[in-house]
Amino acid sequence: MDNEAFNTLKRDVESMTEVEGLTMTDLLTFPDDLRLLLNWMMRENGVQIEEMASYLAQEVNEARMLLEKMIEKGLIEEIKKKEEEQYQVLVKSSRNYRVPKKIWQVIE
Amino acid sequence: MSKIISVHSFRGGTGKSNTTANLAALLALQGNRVGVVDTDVQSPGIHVLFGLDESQMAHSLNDYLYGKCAITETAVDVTSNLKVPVKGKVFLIPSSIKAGEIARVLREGYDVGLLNDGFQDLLEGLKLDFLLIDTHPGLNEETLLSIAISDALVIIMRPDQQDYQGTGVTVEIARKLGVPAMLLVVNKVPQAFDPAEVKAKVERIYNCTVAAVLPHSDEMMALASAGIFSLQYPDHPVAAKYKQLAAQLMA
Ligand SMILES: Nc1ncnc2c1ncn2[C@@H]1O[C@H](COP(=O)(O)OP(=O)(O)OP(=O)(O)O)[C@@H](O)[C@H]1O
Ligand SMILES: [Mg+2]
Repeated sequence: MDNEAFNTLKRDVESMTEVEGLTMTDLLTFPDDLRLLLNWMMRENGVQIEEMASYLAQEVNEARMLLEKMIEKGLIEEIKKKEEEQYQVLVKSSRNYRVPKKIWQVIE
Repeated sequence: MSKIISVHSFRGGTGKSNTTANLAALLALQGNRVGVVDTDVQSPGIHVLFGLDESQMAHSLNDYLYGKCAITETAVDVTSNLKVPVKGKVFLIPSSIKAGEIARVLREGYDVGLLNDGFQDLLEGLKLDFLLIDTHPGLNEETLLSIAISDALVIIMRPDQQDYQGTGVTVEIARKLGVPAMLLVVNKVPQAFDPAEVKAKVERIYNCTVAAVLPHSDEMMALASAGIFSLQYPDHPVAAKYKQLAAQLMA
């Protein structure tokens, strides 16, 4: 993504309230670029910082700054996989079995 | 590369479990190692298609979700139940059919995040080429998670006005979740309908290609989920459609 979109993404993360993990319904309410980034990380089941930088088309340092903010906000967590540092979306341990009402707002 | 494929429909009874079981069998016939997870914990059913009874389920997905065992311990190798020579393997991860355990799910729910870890453990632990997820109809945290982590999503609908509306919701959610491949399937199409017309209509409504149009089949109704249709009627037009879908998933 270009620098402008990347800056917007950083601002979107900064302005978020802290959470302890994500529900899928939360995810649907996020701005496009943030949602797509998190979707991508989920499907990859953990990514390395270099992979994230190349996904974002940014320098590793820039990607790391964003990553740290995302960890701070409780969106993702660090996991160790095959002796490598990887990052994965933190799925909230919700026992909420019903669809929250806001799902209907999301798709309207 | 292993692939996670969710089979979903907005409304119930569209043919999810039959489609999942047939795709699993056809993928295994081609030499693939296939896992099938019954995430329909409220109303499990796909074990019936694989001829599995309660005595063969040492553990169920419920045991894993409530921390009683590893998810790989719940997998049952049902390849021999297919009763035809199969190059690959089919493993079923059944949901419990005990009333008390279903009641617990309805009462307490479960930790949805565990599904994600469980799917990954299955892919690695059983060295799977494909993991097929049979879902509960409609949208909830668990079906949304299955959709979000899928490499491909098979959405099934009937040519019914109620299905038309609901399917639009699922298609939109799949787009929002960036699912890489969406395979729309129209099932139980009455013989009186022109399949090409149905296909064109559905594609126009959702702006998305239809992967297959399956006719309503009396033979399939008569089989009544007592087996895998495309293995029992390999030359039937419905079997040809299932094969076409399986080929698309392997591509
Ligand atoms: N093409 C078809 N022609 C005729 N009958 C069919 C066809 N496809 C499925 N069926 C029948 O429809 C019924 C429902 O199928 P199935 O259980 O696979 O649906 P489902 O979507 O999994 O249902 P649920 O939402 O309850 O889980 C079964 O009796 C099955 O044999
Ligand atoms: Mg079913």
